[in-house]
Amino acid sequence: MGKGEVLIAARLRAYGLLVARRDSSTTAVKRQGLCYDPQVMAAPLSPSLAAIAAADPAKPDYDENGVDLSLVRYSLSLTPTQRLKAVENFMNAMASVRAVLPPSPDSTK
Amino acid sequence: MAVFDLGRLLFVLSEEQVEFIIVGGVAAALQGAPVLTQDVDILYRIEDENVERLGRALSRLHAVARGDSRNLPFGKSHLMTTGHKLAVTDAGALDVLGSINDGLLYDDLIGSSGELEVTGLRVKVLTLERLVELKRALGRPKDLAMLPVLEATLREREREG
Repeated sequence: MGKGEVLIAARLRAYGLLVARRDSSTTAVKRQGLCYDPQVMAAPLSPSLAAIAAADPAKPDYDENGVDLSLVRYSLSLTPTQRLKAVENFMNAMASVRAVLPPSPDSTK
Repeated sequence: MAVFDLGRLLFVLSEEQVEFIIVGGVAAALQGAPVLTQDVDILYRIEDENVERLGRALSRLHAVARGDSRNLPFGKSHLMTTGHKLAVTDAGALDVLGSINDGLLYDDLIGSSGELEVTGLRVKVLTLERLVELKRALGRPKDLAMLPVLEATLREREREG
């Protein structure tokens, strides 16, 4: 996402259009059928909207060890079956990659 | 290319009534830690009948020793030992563990496990709290590297209540 798109996305979020979505690229905005007025986007944020922007739910949230807490919360929101499926998808993706790579000379797996 | 089907893997183990606890990365993932792993680790009860049930399950899954071109299956005498049996099955890579952390057996850890419903099955999973303790005790770089994510997951879970 370019700098301009980031700003647009930030403003859309500030207006509450994308609060529930993390995917805030211009493409995603278009896909959702949202439209915006460039002049409105260029206007300074009112104090109340600036406060909303400051509490941006899409803002990265890391703990002191650098762990992405948004990812932890997302994972916790899934059911155990969905979590198992995520692990399985990863395993299958890795297997696909291994299938097209030549074996390492010292590989035993 | 092997296609991983962890639901089937758990189904076969459960259908054969194998007494086991899911440990390792999958245990962490099932409890909400955003970690990825490439195999399923199970700690099974080393007892005559359970080992026979495990043997049947492994046979149904076409389990053979991983990294051995002879494709050797696991015999009962092998499964009666406390060592790690690293298998490849037709449902994915499976580490069949007689003990973990230098000698902890199924009976030592069953009290530190909880039941989760996964793909319609009730499976025993080592608690995240105990997993953190064991990984800290192991102290290997690969285990220590996972600790911040596990601890963050515990904190978030407590925060959410």
